Amino acid sequence: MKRIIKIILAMIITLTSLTSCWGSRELDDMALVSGLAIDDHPEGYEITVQIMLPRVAASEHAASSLAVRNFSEHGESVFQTIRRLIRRLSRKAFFSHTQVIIVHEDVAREKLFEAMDFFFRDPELRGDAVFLIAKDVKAKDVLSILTAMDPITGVSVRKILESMQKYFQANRDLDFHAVVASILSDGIDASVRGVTVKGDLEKAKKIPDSQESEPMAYIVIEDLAILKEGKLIGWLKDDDIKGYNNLIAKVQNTIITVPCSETNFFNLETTRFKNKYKVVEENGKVKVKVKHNVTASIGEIGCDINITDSKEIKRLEKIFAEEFVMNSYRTLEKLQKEFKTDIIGFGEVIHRQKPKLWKTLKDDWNKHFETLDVEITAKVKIDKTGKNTNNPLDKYLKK
Amino acid sequence: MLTLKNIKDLFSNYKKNNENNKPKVHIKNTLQANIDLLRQELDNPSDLVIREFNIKDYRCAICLIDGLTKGDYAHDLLLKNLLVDIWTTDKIREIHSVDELFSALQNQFIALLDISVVSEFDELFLNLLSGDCVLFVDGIARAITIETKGWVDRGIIESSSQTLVRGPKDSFNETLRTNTMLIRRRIKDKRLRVESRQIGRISKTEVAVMYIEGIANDKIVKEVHERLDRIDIDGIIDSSYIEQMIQDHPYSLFPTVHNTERPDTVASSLMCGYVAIVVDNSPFVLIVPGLFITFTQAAEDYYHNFYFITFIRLIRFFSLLLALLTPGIYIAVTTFHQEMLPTSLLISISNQREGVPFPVFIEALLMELTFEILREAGIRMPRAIGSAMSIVGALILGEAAVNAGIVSSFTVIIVSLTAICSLIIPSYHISISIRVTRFIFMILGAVFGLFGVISGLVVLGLFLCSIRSFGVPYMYPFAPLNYEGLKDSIIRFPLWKINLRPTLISEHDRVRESSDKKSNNTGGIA
Repeated sequence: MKRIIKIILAMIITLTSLTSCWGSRELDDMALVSGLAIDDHPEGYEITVQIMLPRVAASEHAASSLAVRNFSEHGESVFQTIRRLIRRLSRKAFFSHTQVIIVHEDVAREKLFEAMDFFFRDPELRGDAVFLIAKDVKAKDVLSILTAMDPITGVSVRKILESMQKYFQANRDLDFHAVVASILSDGIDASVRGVTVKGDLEKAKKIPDSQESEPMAYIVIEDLAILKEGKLIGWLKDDDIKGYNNLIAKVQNTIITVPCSETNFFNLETTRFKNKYKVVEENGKVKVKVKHNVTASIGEIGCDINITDSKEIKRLEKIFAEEFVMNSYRTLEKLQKEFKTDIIGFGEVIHRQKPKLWKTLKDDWNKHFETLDVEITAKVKIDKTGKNTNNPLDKYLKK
Repeated sequence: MLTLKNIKDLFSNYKKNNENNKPKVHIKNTLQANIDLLRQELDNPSDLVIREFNIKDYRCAICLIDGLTKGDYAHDLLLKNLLVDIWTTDKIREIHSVDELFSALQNQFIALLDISVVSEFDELFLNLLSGDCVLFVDGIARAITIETKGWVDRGIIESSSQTLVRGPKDSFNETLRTNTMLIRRRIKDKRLRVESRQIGRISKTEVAVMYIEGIANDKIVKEVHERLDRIDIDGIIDSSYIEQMIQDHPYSLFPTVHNTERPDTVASSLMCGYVAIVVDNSPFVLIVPGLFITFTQAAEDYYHNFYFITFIRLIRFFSLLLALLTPGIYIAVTTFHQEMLPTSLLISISNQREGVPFPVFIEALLMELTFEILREAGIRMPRAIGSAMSIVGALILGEAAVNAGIVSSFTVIIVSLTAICSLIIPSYHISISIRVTRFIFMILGAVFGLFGVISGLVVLGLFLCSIRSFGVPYMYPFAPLNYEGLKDSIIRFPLWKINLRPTLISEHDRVRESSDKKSNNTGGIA
């Protein structure tokens, strides 16, 4: 018995000392990556990592001094390039906290798969990093913009997207995992947000914008990249994103505007946005029925209208329903005729509702999508009119 | 050479000497011989008082140990009675022989409650040294011992180790009789048993086993007696000696015998079927079986609203886990699983770690050890330098170490959190175990990461479920699961819902509460 105890003790002591804590890494030996940019380069890729400087980022001077540093390197493959970065960093890069991955549109057009393999394979990188495509500017330029509110660009971009996703426009594939999942799925193609920089880029790189009340350059999320079978084929403009939003119904709380006169507008704030998809077969043809179910409140009234009158509200509801349907049809037409790509996921809807039918369509879904019959209807319910009844400035508006 | 075998021989010889070669010394016939023997055996100590006097023509002597007897008993009731008051009775005139005097002394002249006649010196010494008076009469080969025990004690004051806001404030002190009295006052049932014995060859400490016949499990009572019988030690200085001698798992880190300073806790435990062991000279009464759950319950848990107590108990269990695991998890997460932390938290921890010269494990270990040192110093140091200590501890060690960049402030937060959490546990006993186990978890976390912490938890859980206290599984009522027992565990049901006593502890009479709900209380005065 005593022998056994001795042996076990000896084993525990040697084991714990021999492992030398395999896999352990001290925090102060890591360079925390907040953002990653991939640009095209004649040699292959140019990769930029944004390293957070915790000492600055966590201090009270975060806003006025640089909390991040960007390091660029180029090479033939992604992994090789990242390893090359070690020459410039005193610590090993740690990718688990990467907030944002930005890929330049040229890369997205030509070799997105090749570039993405590393990130998908490497266990360190989390799938929840936001995935963006840089439009008109280099991807590394986006990471070089410093903002006052969040000293770390990666965090800042992520937060912009997250609040957009909640209150403005949403896209289906926000993070890296979702993009890959959409690319791999048969019934849908990926749609990724575009990002660009406005303003004086060169100046903005030098000083954090907190020293000016108006930023010299700023990051703008605009347009939607359409990735057909994993390759960028075109951009959906902001106007059409409205319809795209209606069709995917991911954002609950957004604004819709309808002109009521030549210069004035009605604004509606949606509080609930649900879609109902129904697949029917009519005379051997597939038809998808989409119904927008919207609950909304009045956000702004630019014209004279008596909103205490339920008839007027009904009229408003109708106008807005038409607006929703019109937007959706317009976007759908563009997707079917111009891009010939299903980024809405009608294929998935059919797959879910009519699995047998889907089997016959699956193989050349994009062809079928071009001619897919879609019927869109909308039901809008205005349940709140805000704090005012009629516009207090009514009498001036009338004039 | 002193080998193990030699020592064993030494012990067996010693035992033989003690048991067999002890001739019994009878009390002599003459007074002078007895007094001489007494003086000789005790080597005439300065606190031995011998007062010789005459009753009629018969020579008598009262012996006592100064300080152990109640002064007014010895003087007013005994001496004054024998020297002055007996002359007022008629009986004294009827005494014509020494035998008549002796029987009159036994039956009439001594106005004290507890007297007995002894004929052997061994017994006499025990009584004398426990604080009794011994009365010799010349010509009689026996002596009368009169119970006059009484000494200066602390009195019944508020408990210092188990304080509460609401509820009885008295606590045990070092006198066994006071302690049994405090329990008796709370339980007036005739079934309350007090079974006394002496343990300790030299100290001859009185130990009383208390339980309620018919509620307590007979097997547990029997087991307690058997284990007490087996104790063979020179002296019992505190009840913890008994505790260590009767524990089920002497090498276990976790205590299996509960102790308390509070008579109300003992009384309610007795009524649940537990067995109490009261030890003379110790204000801590032992309660067996000691289960994990009993260490997490405070007396006050039954004196407040059950909503509040359930809330408090949840906090208590949570802090128990925190006290055990926080440093281990902190080390594991910051050295192995950095991806688990939210980014902003990581940045903030990472910022504090910059420039700290040690790895997280060493840093946390240093701080934990420093805190343990501080805590130990706080207990041992003279009270007067307490404030100086807290300044050194809080300001110099905490503040300055962070400013100097030797430790990160996050580690200081972790250490203080665990320190506070370990203090919330009502029983100091189990908080010690947790303090020690914490270091094991820190090592596991540093070597194997969360994998190590979780494996450690599994092993700990298995261990806790495997041990027993006096035959009762330690983790009862969680394992084995018992619904009635759960009513008073992490959540406390209202008193009128806890109807039965715990199954494994009480045996026969299990109904605790059987009133017809509180619905009849609502009518009332209105």
